[in-house]
Amino acid sequence: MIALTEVTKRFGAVTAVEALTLKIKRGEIFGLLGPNGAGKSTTIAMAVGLLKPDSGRVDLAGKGPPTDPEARRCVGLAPQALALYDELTATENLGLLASLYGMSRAEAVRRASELLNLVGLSERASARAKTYSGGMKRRLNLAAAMVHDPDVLLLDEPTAGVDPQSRHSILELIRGLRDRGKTVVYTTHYMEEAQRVCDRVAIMDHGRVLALGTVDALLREHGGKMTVHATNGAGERRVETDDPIAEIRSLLESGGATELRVERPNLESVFLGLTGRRLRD
Amino acid sequence: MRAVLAIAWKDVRLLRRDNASAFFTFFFPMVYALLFGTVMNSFGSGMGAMDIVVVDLDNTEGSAAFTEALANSNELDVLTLDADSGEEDARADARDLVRRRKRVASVVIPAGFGERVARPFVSGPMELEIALDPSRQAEGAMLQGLLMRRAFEQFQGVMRDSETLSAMAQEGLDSIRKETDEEKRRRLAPLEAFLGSLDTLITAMQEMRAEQSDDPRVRITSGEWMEPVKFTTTEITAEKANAYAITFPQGIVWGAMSASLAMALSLVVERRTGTLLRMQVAPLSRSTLLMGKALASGIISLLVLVVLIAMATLFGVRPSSAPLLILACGCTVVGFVGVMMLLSVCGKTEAAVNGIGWSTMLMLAMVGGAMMPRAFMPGWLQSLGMISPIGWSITALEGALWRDYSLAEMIGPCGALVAIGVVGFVVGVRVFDWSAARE
Repeated sequence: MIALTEVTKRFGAVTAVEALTLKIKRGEIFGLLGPNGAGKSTTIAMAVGLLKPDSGRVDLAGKGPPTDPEARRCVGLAPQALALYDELTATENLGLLASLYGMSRAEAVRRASELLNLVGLSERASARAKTYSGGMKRRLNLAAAMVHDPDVLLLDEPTAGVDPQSRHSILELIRGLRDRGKTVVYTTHYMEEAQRVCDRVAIMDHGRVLALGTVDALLREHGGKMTVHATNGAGERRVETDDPIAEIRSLLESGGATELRVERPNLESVFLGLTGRRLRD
Repeated sequence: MRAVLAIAWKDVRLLRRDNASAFFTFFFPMVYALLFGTVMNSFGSGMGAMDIVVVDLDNTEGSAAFTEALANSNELDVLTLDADSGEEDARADARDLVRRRKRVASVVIPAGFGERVARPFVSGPMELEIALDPSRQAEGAMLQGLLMRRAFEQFQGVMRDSETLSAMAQEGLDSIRKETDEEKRRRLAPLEAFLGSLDTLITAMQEMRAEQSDDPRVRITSGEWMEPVKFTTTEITAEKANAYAITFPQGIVWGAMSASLAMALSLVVERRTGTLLRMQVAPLSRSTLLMGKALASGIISLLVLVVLIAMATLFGVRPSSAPLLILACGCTVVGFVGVMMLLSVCGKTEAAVNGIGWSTMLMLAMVGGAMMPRAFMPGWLQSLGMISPIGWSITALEGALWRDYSLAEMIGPCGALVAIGVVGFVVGVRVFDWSAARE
């Protein structure tokens, strides 16, 4: 659905993205993970044509590069910044964007109503965006990306700064989009979120893809072993193992533990394993 | 086109909901025009300038010497008109030059001027007719001072010659003694005493004051008879140009400036908040996007113009030509759209664009002659004023409101405004593209 081939982008002496190749399939949720400055936003900007790569090719849905307006039409972007007009109502915000995609006034109103219903903002449709909470603005931001019913949605940190309830609601919404056949590219530095919703993940650092695959495959290949934490009066003991059940049984039989906890590897540990540092270092 | 209209309508709506910007766009220029109009109405007007046209209807040695003295003056750029085709035609031609803003004032030297130079005690003061551009008052005061100086120099030349002075005194005494009107004799007694005794000259002359004319459009601005020069000043097109006709074009220009700046700022705000990015992702070309912004700027400027012109009519301002006024308004809008585009790309933050915007606008206002008379500026600064849409706008609006410009006369200022608008827009779009590629 989206193909980036050997794409490189430099800003002066800094290489933001280097020889990046990604092929994102139709109907999947693809996570682009990495710390700040990894090159995620630059990759997104090149994917939608906001930035021109110094070298390499971008193809959108087989329609060509994003410099072609027709190719751009199949992509919707929810930028990390809440790109909304505070003084306009939710309906007016969506109506404006619908007009930019050539919809008639009646179509725009109908589409705005549908989307506000989808993101749970119907009751506040006539309120100005400035009166919305952070979570509501995030949902409206997401709705704005969907106004022209694109096949591909690029969501740049769509849950940044929202409360757990809104986060849950947004993640459910993203899953629902996949179920309806949409392709979602999702950037985040919240690994647990990616682990929860993404079908495939690319882990980026310093403009390069360090690993790419399904969450399970990445965990298996780069996550390391499971860890059993055993606590007794003398303190806590950590045991890395491929067979936690056997290890727990052994600890219980030896009477060496009063409390047991099993820690599965996660994407955080994948990143640690790949880079030798934690994601938020 | 739907996208262009959508962007434009969105910007109009946002401005309407931003009370501060709406105030400075719509109400501030109105306050400006009304306040200054009221002040000018209260205190009246009197004016002159540096670029002048002189018509010598006297054609004597004295008038020629006076014209030459003016022409040799560093402070004046004198164009002389012959009166070969008749006095009235020469007067009309001179006034037309003032009406078209080619000259700040016309100075007509009437018949009898040379006689009065030669015989000041007998013939009365030298007279000059000045036709002034009422929108250039500060320059007017300066012109009168300069004319007075040249006249004094001429008078001094006569007085310096003792024989001439003696002859003039004797001639004056003879004239007074022949006077049969007792009242006049009584009034001339001091002069008689002066001519008999020069020591009492100054004191005697100060008592001889002239009566002022009742007609407010014809004012005698200096003392009569013993003063060397009597100015009779009139305002050209005074019937149409009340004070509000002069202040409203300036108010309109301030309104257009505010609207341009508000739109320039809105583009920066869109860049900061990410809404610009969202529009850039839509299947629109950059020029479509910027045309939407330009249209919004144009609509708001036009609204300001319409509101202010409607207000002006309430204060008695009647345009000479409604179609030409529409043309002037349209060209003013185009000119300021160009300025808006340039300002919008000259900074990355609101603070930067706001600061640069107002500084630029004030500079344009200054070199355009909206803040101080251009005649007071050095030549290079006057030339720089050619790039200011402010001066051109005021010229075009005044031309349609009260200067009785013809369509041909409107081509200059309107063409300049359109050129500024087009160049500003094209350069702005190029810079926008360039900076977008670098971000």
